Amino acid sequence: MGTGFLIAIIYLTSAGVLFLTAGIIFKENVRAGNNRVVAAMLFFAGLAPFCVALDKTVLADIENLSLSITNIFYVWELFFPALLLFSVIFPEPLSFYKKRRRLFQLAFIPHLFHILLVVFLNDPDKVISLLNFDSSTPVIGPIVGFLETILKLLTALMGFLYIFHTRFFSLINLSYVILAMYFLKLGYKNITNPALKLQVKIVIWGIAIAVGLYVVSSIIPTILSFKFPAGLREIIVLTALVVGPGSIAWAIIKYRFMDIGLLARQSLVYTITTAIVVGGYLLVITELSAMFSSTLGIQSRLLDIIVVVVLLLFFQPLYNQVDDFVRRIFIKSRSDYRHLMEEFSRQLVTVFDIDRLAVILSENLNREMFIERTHFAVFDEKSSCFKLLGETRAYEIENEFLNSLAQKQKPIFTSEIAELSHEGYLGGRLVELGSYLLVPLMDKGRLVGIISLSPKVAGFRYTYEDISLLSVIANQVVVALNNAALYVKSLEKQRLEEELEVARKIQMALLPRNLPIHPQYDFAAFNHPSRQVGGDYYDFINLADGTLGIVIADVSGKGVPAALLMARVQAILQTQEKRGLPIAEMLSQLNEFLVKSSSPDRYVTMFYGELDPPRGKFCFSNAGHNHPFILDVAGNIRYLDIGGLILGAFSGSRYDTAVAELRKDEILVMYTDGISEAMNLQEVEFGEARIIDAVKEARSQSAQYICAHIIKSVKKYAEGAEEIDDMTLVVVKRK
Amino acid sequence: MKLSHKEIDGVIVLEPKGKIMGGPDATLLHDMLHDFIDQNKKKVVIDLSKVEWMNSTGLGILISGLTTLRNNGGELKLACVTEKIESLLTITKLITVFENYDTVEDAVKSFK
Repeated sequence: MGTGFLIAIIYLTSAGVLFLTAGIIFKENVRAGNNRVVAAMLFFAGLAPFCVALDKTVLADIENLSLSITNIFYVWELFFPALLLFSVIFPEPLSFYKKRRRLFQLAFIPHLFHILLVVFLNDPDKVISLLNFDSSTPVIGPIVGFLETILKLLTALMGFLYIFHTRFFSLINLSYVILAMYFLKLGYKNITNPALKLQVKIVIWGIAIAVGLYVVSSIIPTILSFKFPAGLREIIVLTALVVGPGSIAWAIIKYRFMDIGLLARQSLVYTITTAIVVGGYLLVITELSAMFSSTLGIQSRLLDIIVVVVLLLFFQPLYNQVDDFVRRIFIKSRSDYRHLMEEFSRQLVTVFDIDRLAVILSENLNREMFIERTHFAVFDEKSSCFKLLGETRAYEIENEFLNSLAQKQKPIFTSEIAELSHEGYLGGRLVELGSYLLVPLMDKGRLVGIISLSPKVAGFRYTYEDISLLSVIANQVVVALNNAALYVKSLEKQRLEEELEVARKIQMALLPRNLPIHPQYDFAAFNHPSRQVGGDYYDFINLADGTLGIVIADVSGKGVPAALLMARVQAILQTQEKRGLPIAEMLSQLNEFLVKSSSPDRYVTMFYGELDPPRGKFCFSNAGHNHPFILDVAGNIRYLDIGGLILGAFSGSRYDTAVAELRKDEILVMYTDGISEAMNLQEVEFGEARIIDAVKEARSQSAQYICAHIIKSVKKYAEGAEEIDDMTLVVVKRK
Repeated sequence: MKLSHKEIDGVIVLEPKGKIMGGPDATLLHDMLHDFIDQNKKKVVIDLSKVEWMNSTGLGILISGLTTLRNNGGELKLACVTEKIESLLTITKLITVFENYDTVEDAVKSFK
């Protein structure tokens, strides 16, 4: 009783799984002819275990069951032509099937004839007995008798045929199976998507094993007229039943075979769970009651009821356990969408390159959702156009296209948007590329990109589950895009910082390390490069004739280019040490050199003078630099403005020189515009007047003190305001 | 800096507005001048009345503009130079290089 029950339950579960799958597949996508065929095959396959289960349980108790009723069960053999048809359309219709669709439908004819035969003519004797008409009537009698004989002969012939037929028909089934396996192998070879290949592999192997076992246990013995021992045969058939439907269920539940939605997959799990639990229970109950009745000798219905009640108390927790177990095996599988999300988020966090992002996106979507092609368009700030990754050209977006996407803010089918065929525009291009579903990437109400998806492989459709998943992925991609943009910015910033550091180092290396020392003079200098590093420069050069060259200069522009130009200027000035050219000549040469070696918008303002220390004579020329001044004891200012044009701007500039005299207690101040143009919070410049005031305030002090006082005044004045330029100051006081 | 322009009697009058500084301002003016040179319009006046401030790079832009036009047989003149910019031109002695006029009309007339 026990094992019989178990076997019946396995049969019923297999039938249940197959029927349910057939139903789901049929309902999921009726429009696709392929699904009809798959559903039909699964339905007929399910009919077989269902009939056997019926035979073993309900019908087993009915005596004298008409043979023709059980023979109706042969309808299941329509499975074989359905399998053949399935093999040519799965997973994609084979090319020769497309041309000869009708031909393959003829495969059903032998089976229809077969069913007719086995249902109505399985027992010729019975039919013949039915044909015993009363032939005693005259005239008609002989005719009826003649007809009767003919019919009886025909029936007998059919009966004879029937004996051969079962054997012959097994041959047909066998050939169908072999053909189907061959076609499935052909179809399998054509698959390129790895996930689909895995699904199909499981299904094909499942079917092959199941059908193969059936061939071994039933068809071959029929053909060769021998019989397996009943027990062995039962085991083989049961294995076939578990493997065949099991593989399909496995592929559906674990690898989303046939693109079955989550709900349907859950119901499959539910069927399997229920079968296991109910089967187990019935087995336990019957075994227990049998044990009780045999050991205790009590044959009571009451005992049965008690057992059932006690067991029912455990039913729910046990059911939950089994359900959990089945779910762990099936649902929490690696190709579940949740897994896709996790995998995706994990990868996106580490991606700062948009091209790499696009690759990850297409790889994941194509693999997990069975999409043929994925394209990724990203808004390009610079051109205000969209760029398709993998293409160099930028596309403008059609207004109606932008509006549709921005309004919906969710995945939208290309077919829902009217007029998308503008050539050279984004929408038109996406249609050209076979776009079917568009996922807008919205960031704060702004369209920053589009994921364009082609139709799925094998005609699968986009489910509600897919669409909601794509919406979630879209949000993640927007975050990743923002991250990538921030990363690029920070990289640029870092590069700029490094460049400025280089400029700062160049500038520091060019400035003199020590100030000149002279008993009659007091020297002080200050240089503070701005954050962006300008091109300020000052230097003292000991000349061959005993005079002291003093230079202050400002190179236009900032950063490394300014620093490099300054380095050139310094190199040339250093040669003056040896050459001792007249100042005007030296500046002219420097100007010509700079005109040739730099673009006209780069120039240098420079003040250069040569101090003859014993006499206090200061011969100078000012090439467009802020006017240095000398403060005399009376508090008057003498500006040193004689000279010429800025250096490096125009060829042929001439420079005048003048001689100033630095007398005792007089102060010479030279500065760059970073000091005079330092601004306060009201954006008013420090100005020349305030520099003079600061000098006057500290005039009795040393050059160092005056220098520090000016800087202190500037800093106090500009406190809180943004520092714009380099600040350089040189102070010389004659003691 | 915003840069608009108009044409008076065959003379291009550029009207920069705001602060003339480095970076994008330079390329903007440079590209515009080259467009005019290509159209054989080489007489240009820059109306500086709406320029609040100019740094050393901004001055470089003017120098570069003048050089570009002169090298192509044209001329760049300034009009309505504000006090601040005038002092900048004075210090750098560029006042001797640029012709500058009190009004745009004067600058345009000077081309005849």
